[in-house]
Amino acid sequence: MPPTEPIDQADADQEIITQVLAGSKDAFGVLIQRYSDPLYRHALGMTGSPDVAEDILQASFIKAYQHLSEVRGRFDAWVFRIVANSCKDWLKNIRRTHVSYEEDDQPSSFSTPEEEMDRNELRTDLEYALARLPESLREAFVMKHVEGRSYEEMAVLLETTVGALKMRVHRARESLQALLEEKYA
Amino acid sequence: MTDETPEVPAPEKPIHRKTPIATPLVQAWLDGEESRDHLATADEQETAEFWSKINNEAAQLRRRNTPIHVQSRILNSLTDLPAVPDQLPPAEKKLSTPVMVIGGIVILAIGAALGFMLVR
Repeated sequence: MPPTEPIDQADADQEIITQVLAGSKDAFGVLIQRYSDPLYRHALGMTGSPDVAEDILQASFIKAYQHLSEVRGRFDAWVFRIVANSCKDWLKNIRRTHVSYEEDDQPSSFSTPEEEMDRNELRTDLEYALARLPESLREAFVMKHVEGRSYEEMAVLLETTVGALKMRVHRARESLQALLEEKYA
Repeated sequence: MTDETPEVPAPEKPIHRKTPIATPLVQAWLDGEESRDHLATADEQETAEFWSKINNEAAQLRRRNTPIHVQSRILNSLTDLPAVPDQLPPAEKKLSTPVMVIGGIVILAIGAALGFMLVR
């Protein structure tokens, strides 16, 4: 997904899109396999809920499939924006309906006992603190720290500048530090 | 009866010292632009220690993958959908424009030639 990635990845995606548009639904599975993990991590980081992240991922890929003929430029950036917008819509909706972050994040949604145990206290606190950040700061922090993307890659995906993103990440860090330091400093 | 003994103020709770604000150097380290060795002050080291804990947790989140059943679920949901609208992808659209122009010119040329022959 980084902008420095070989151009042939975008060409390979375009080739698959051509196949899907020619009637091969199965070819779309290649795109799902290729991009679902980073997209899932983004949705999980933004919502904090595995259930919600799964639903957003499914809805986004269906939307991408239905609008595949409208892809302009890189497929990965296009489908990322669908997922990112879905996450923002979910966050707006959940604030409007006053459903708390914690209420929605049911531990039972973890599929294995190992996953359940993996959800330690710091993770819970980090997710809670992330939920208290404004969307744009949370998005920038999740992309940088959780997804491990470079600023250049983020700038391509979010269609903004590296400077603006650095500013958001720095502000997110300051806010998170203030929220978490009492317990973890 | 009132107790006239002056009230002894409750001992103050020890205030938890907050971590120092991340300096530009710490931010640069977190951005991967500086080595941790360059963090010189005790405050910077303390902040770096705090962020190391957070980064370790973030790194674990980074290893989370899409549950297998989700990929299958998405693929299965596509089977209920109609095929994608039969529309040429952008690359083919771009290619078809010059072909159409050339085709138009050829047709015009043939028409002109036929007209010329008929007139003669």
